[in-house]
Amino acid sequence: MALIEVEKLSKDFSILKRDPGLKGAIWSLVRRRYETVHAVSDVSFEIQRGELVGYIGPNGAGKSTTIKMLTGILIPTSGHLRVCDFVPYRERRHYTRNIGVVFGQRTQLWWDIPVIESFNLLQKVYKVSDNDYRRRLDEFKELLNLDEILDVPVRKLSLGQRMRCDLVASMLHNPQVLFLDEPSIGLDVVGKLRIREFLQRINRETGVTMILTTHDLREIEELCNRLIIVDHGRILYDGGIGGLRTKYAFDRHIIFQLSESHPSDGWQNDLDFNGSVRWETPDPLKVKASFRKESVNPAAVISSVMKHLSVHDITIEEPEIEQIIGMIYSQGKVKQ
Amino acid sequence: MFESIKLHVTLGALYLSKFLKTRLEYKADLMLGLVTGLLFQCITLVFIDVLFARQSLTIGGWNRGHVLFIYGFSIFPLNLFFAFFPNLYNVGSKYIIEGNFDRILLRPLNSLFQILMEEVDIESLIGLIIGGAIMYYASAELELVWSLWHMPVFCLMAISGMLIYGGVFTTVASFSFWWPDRIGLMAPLFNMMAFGKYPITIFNRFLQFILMWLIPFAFVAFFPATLFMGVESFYTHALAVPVVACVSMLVGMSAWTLGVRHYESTGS
Amino acid sequence: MTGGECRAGSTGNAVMRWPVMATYIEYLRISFHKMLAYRISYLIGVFTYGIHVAVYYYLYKALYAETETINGYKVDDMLTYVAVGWICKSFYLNYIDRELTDDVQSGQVAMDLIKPIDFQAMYFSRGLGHSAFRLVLFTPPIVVLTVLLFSVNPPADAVHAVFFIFSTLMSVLIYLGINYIIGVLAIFFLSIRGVLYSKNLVIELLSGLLVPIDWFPDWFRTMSAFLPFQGIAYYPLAIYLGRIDGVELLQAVGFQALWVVIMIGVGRFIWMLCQKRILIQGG
Repeated sequence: MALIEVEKLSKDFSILKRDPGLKGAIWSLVRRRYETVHAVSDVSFEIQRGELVGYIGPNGAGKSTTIKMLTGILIPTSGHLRVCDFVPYRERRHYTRNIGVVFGQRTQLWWDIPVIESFNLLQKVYKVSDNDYRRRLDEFKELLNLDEILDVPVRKLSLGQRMRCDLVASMLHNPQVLFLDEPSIGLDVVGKLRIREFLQRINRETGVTMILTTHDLREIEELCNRLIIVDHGRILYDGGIGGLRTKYAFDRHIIFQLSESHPSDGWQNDLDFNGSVRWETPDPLKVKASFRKESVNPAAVISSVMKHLSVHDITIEEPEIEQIIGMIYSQGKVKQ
Repeated sequence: MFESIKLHVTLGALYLSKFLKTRLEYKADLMLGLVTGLLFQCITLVFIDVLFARQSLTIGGWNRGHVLFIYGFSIFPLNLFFAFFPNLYNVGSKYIIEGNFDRILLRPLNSLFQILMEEVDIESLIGLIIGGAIMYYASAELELVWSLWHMPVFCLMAISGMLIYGGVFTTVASFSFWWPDRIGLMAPLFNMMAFGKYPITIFNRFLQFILMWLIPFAFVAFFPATLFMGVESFYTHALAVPVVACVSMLVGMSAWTLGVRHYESTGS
Repeated sequence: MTGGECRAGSTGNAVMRWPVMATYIEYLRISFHKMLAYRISYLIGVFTYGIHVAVYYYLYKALYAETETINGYKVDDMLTYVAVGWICKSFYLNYIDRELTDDVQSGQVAMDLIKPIDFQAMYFSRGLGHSAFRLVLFTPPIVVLTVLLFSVNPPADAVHAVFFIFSTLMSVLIYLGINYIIGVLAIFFLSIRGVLYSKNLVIELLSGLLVPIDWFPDWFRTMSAFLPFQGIAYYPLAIYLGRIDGVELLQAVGFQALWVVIMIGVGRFIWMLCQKRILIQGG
């Protein structure tokens, strides 16, 4: 049985509509109009134990709402939801012992007390045995370089330091699932890298299942073996990153840098590949071939070009994951 | 159930000790809090003193000694409440509007408990000294005799009073789940706390009804004080104080539970 | 407004004056609108305020049960004093002290510091927005309730009525000035925050709202003469009842005006000191 089961999950909000201007404002004291917004509609997926899933989508796509439902903070409008054999919102206090949550935007630690005091308190809150607690804390301390910041109150930490402490706080009770809502938001390159390594390592060592929302697609590429793309509250794609490239069958480009300018025309006729390759000549010393990955063998294209033109250099361009996802987003919007 | 209560009690002590420690770190701040706290206790004293400048004056049959005694007693529940429930004031702003309530919900503990434990205002307890002094003075003026059995009753009444305030303000704080607002809801009720310390007999029926059954602040100070002043006509009311406290807390906690459920279905 | 004058002075031409004023008027407007958004707070506010007035009204009624005059105030005068006093408070009250500390905690202050506006003038505008809201929507129901339920005398005469209105407007400014100073101070002394909630009680007493200033012993009256508080409640009410007459009318209003200027000045000075600390600490 899957660790996380989500079936036809939906969440509607009603939003207060306010008329502009003073008149509207005074009217709103007496009469209010509400409008229903479908933040999440009909979302279904399953996640197995140990998976590392990226949950992405543009701002306002319904990611946070989904995470809030999965963590038991929000009750769904309709649909079925089961995590670690719990219905999160129904048995929340027992359920929360099984999960860890990290919000990049705000800390889960107590603002005024030193980090280590927060950890000690959490040990008691989650009833972690002294042995386990000490072992995990020592390990995390080393992995994340925490020695110097443990005695500092949270409000005095930098964003990166705070994030590292938040990660530790969420893992102290050895949860089965770790939810990460934009964990690297606002961090510098080093900070991001450190967190990425930490997540990879604990996923490998403890087998904790992770769900990660982020806008950083590099992070997704490096960390996740599965990707769920949402927009307007609906799932647009669910699968591996490799599969994304195949499914959306994007063009691959080969750019030839020539040592002498190509003949003005005629040479393409021999390189037609039954019309499946498009040719462009941005300047006299450059030729660009674009084709679909599955219909043409790139080696064949290269060798044919080499026969006809004197090639100085070759670059192969795969579409960036950003471009692919950008296209999915914009297509998703068109479908609406 | 029992297990859960045990956990909350031990954790409560732990929370308190941690937050107390940080509080004690800011010494200058603490001193300032103490001094201003003491100053505030004197305000009502001046008010009563000026009102009764002519010794012969009474209000509704209550003389200066009575009013002072009620005031002295009212300081106990009031300051206990200020010491242990100050975070209720922040529910709307810090927790709901700024989104810290999510963090509370992610912990395997009762949410109201967590919020109450996250802030204590220990310097409020200094006011109890003033309260004691005023009661001592007023007792002499009224020629009251204290005996040993008064002590446990006194503690029970003071704590019940604190719980009445706690229940009422938990209810009001729960309103923030439906109507999040930084100041609007709590502030007017905070000002009403003062009314517990006036003899309820001077008000008209409508006000009496409100101060007894809607916002039961009359049970916080006035009725318990009559018990110690030996005013027999209010003994039944005074004995009802612990019951009112339980009901008040029960209402508060129910409102809170409903509020949390509303929050869960709407987010913030 | 002070901020407007200050800006105009530094740019030194009349063309600049209006756009600058417009900014502050905009703050006033936004603050007015914000108050409208909280419907339930508004209703609860009116209800609890009504009870508030009633409690003090009956307190004095009970006090006068056995006597006609206390300290030169007749029953009617005193009950009018209480009722009108609380009506006025429903108008001059604002919470900018609390808004200020909230803004500091949420980091909003940093955003305001980088804008080309006068900090104090901005908060004053917001406070005036509160008062405008209260004048339009909060005070009228209180007036209706009070006049219907209790016996309230009209002002002494037309001259006193005019002076009363003017004097009440001054009390708004004094109250704003005090609240601003408390708000700025509370940024730096955490424990004042607890005091903020009960500070109203102190102002109620010192301003003469709870008891008229001339009921107090001499030492208190002497102290009051050197403090701004009696300009908030006592003077407007004494004018309303006609207890202040002739030249004293001008003196009372002059006292208020002087304190408006002092409060604004002190507020600017304290902010100047605090601003340095905010800039150093990073908020």
